[in-house]
Amino acid sequence: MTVQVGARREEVPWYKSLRHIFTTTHHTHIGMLYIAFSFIFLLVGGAMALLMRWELAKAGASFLEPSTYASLFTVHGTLMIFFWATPVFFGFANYLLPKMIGAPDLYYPKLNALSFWLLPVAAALLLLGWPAIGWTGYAPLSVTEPGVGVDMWILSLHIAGTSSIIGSLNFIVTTWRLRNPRVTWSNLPLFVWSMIVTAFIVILAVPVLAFGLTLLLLDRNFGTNFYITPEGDPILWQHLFWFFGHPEVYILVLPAFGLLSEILPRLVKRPIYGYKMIAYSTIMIGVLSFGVWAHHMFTTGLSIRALAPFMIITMTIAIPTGIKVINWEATLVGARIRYNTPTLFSLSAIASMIVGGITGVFHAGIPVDWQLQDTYWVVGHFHLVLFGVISQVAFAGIYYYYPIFTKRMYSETLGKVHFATANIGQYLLYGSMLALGLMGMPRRYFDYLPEFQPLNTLASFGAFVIGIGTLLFVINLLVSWRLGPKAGEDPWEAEKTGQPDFLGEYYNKLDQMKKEEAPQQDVQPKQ
Amino acid sequence: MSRVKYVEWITIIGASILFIYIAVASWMIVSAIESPDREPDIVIEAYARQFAWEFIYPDGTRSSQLRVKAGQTVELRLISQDVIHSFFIRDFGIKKDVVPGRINKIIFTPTEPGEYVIQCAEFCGYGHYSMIAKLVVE
Repeated sequence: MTVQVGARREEVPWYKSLRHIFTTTHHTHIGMLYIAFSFIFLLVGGAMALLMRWELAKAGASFLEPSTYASLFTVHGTLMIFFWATPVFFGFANYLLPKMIGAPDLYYPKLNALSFWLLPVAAALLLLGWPAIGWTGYAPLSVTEPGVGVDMWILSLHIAGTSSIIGSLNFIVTTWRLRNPRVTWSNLPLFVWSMIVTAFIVILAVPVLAFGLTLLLLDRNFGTNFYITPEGDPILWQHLFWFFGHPEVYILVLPAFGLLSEILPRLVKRPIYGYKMIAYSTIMIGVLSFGVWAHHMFTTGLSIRALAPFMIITMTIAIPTGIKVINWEATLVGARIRYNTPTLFSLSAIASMIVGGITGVFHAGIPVDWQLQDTYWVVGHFHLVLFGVISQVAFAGIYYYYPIFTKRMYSETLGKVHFATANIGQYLLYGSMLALGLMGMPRRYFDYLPEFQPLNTLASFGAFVIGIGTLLFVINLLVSWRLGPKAGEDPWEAEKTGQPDFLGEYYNKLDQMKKEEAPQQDVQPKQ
Repeated sequence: MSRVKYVEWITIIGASILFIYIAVASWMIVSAIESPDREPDIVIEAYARQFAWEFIYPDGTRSSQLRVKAGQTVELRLISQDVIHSFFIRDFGIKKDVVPGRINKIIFTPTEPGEYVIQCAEFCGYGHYSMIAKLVVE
């Protein structure tokens, strides 16, 4: 199958034949399908965000109904998490992971195709369901909400969760079984390291969500009372949801950290500083991520003695994250930085991580959290991470691997405009949100007190700046695919500076050369 | 040890010390808020439903406004009639969820007379934004 596709690729590219799109099992094809899929939902979710910001630009109702607004933020949240940030990095992993470890494909190519094709089904269920319960779906509101919308939301998350569990198993088995023998745990590319830790988090956390969702489905349709008083307890949902929900944050951010650790040293032509520390900190984040969930529940009235450990572990988890930031900065010290688009996005992602990370650590302190919880401060904080770090690293990754994916170069000018709009827009939008949160504006508000007006207008302006930039980005990608200048084999001179883009493939090539010619000295690439 | 390693360890240890300090301070503040050394002067029941607040005073009067006297220690019992809400006074740094099936308590002593805003901070349905009440401190 894969050989056939590879052979035909010369005449008709695989993506121009519908039959090939639906039947391909090759990891590069599935990877690009994942990325294309997630970009569609970035645009859909982004359009929803712009509708909300248009509504919020002015106090009072302007053109939406409160119930439509509630559906918009519910679907926006679920879409961006499950159908943008997760699949875009699964796409990168599909494409890059086998090449980085020197495998011909993933271990289970057909399961891989399955895990991709489950996603459009899940996304369709979500969009058709159009629930209005918030992406966290707190019981008992999610139990009492009439209609089938919430049931479809539940099934959508079941399917999306199944998809990511299958994908994660595939990554783990592939990395264990199909490595080139010279790719070991002590020179494994850092992106593979973080995908492995992410995959383990997915396998441990997502079943808990599935369990909680199943109970919710039973409560809604079969008269059970897991989340309904007096027999049940709505707080149970919060425990189950956040036991999944906080590791989910790291499911989203760890692949971004990994990709950044991969492209940054190649862009500045300097090996990553502290390879071991970055790998260890990834494992540490993965382990600690299961011990912080109740920091989402500081205001529920649980005993403060029960909450104190979560305060301490939440602070502790900031340390491995800080280690990564310091190591990236140390990589930059004394390097000759090339200011092209992927580098600029990598640098701004580090900056966003500092702002987004520090605004998050505030929540660890219980009394501070009591003031800030469920205000716009939280919204500003996690958008700075989800957009400022995760999405910006995804953008940097797309720009970096664009010449490798498509054999063509993107437009550098449009790329820099995109960089400028994304960052100016981001600080206008999320900076205003942080300030609004400090002023005490709760999140998920359709309308607000008059004193919140100026900052909301500023935030909406920032949102549209980001929207325009993202549109330019997509246009850049599509147009350059057809018209961009042809790119060489080693577009970023990574191999020339001793850091080949795909370590495993590089070793495969050397092994091949060794077999063909007399044994010769090969250069150990720096890691 | 190289210079960068040095900086890294200083940062890790510095951050840890800072976090220990914040954790101890947080714990002391939280303990003081949760178990104050004063007995409440008045106990008021706060009922939350989609999408309004109602306050019941010891003498049985009901009001959609919370009226208390400055210097008086108030204990609020938060009772939900339907879904989860959250009682939030932004000027006092007070927020506590109103959860069906349990009665959460807030104890506070307002000192400055004036009018304050009570907002619902937990999404409780499409009318969540309109669930606003007034706190009057006399």
